[in-house]
Amino acid sequence: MTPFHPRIGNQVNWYGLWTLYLREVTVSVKMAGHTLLAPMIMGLLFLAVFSLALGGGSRLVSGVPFLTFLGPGLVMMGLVHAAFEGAANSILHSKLEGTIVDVLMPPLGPTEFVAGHIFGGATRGLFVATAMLLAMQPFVSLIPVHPGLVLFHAVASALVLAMLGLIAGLWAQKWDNLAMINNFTITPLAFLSGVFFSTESLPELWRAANLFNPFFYMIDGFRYGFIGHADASPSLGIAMILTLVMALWLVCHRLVATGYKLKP
Amino acid sequence: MPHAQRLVGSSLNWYGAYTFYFKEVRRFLKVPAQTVVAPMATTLLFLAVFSLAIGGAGRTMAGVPLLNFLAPGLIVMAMMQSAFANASSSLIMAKIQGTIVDLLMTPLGPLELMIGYVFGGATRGLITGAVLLLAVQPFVSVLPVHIGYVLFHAVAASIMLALLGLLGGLWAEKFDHISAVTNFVITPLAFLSGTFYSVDRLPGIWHSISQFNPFFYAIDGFRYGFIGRADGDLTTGIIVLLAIDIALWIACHRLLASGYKLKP
Repeated sequence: MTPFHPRIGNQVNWYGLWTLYLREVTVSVKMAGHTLLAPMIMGLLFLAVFSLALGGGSRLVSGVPFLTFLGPGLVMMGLVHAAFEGAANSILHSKLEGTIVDVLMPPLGPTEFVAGHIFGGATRGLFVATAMLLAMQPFVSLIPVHPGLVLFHAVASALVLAMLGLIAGLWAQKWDNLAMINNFTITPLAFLSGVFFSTESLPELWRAANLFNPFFYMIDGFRYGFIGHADASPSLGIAMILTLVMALWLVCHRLVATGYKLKP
Repeated sequence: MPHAQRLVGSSLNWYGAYTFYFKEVRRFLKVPAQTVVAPMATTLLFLAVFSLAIGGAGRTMAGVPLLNFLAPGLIVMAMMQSAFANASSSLIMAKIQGTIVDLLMTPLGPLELMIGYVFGGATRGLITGAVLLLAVQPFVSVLPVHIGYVLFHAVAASIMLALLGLLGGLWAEKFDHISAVTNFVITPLAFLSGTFYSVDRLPGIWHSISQFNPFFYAIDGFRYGFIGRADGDLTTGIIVLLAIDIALWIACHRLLASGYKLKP
């Protein structure tokens, strides 16, 4: 046991952060049936449905067979949902059950609070993505051609969604609120940002709107890592996602530091 | 106010059954964003995604334009999921919160409970279906050509799923159990039973299996009412659906009468 000692100044409480992170991951691992198996089944179902509805794998999108195009998109969709839910559910659950005091009372500042929750959510997203990638291999071979880009987009997107989840979890006061955000924001954004289709097939105006849509860059960049073809410039996407990560971090930190909907 | 009456023999407590049914309906009407608008958003997303992913209005399935084929399938899928969700979530919530005693103490026998849960769930399915039918009109014109078939399959499918929801709710001991049934049984069945494609496309063995799948008959018959073409035999479908509904009804009645997981 590390002896307890008070923090001085802005120093990070690494031991506390690690403990909080471990708690978050343990929750996900304990409910693997939900957190891992359900998105895996969903991904395989979508794969089956699309290949059957399209009849024959001969269709090409962006120069690759449709299933090869679809696979990375579905993995990203699973990751996005899992990371969001990981952070949001954890916070709302603690708030509703009153166990949030267990996180507010110990020597954990806003930095540890935010980092613990978003790394926990992001880890869940990355677990799901890995599981989905493995589960899809028998049906469609997905091998990264640019592993670095795959990794960057996976990690950065997981962080973005975990931070959005943290904000949503802070804001929400009941499960209905979260379900609303999921149904009317996250799911439509994930569906319409190019998981299932190349944005080249979109009408002009919509395509232009997509250039401001971070979800589009996440999916597009992640897919680029697998098929070597992107609809938009990957470097622009990377810049956009990094900016978003930093901006969201500041927002999350500020919200937790002021005690928004956490402290009376 | 009529006076409370003792149940004599097997005479039905009409007033009680009606009250309970009404309570079930008001329960879901109180949260229309989740019960009506959310399935609407999901269905429209699926329509958008399929028409974009599959590209071009020229594609046909089973001799009709793809969207005309898809829309009835999506509508009946949403109806079935709503009917299941209503009966199962109402029952499990009552069990977990302990409000189930409010039902067990009242002069409501197994038959009255069945009427409330099953018709309450079926009502939600039918309302969802009616709303969806209106919501898809701006994008694809789907009009019933055989209204009798549309109505029969809508009602039979909603009742079947409400009965399954009741069974699921009785068996489940926590929310996780219900979401496991939803994720691993109901959603895959709804996805793979011809919502998105004509089962003629399925390879040999799967095609034969679908001849024993009541979900397939519900979707196929409902769609027949709109496009005038079915994959399976309609008479067989009607017999299968009626037989399943009756068998499930008897099973649920038995379980409720015996107090399975309801009474100590």
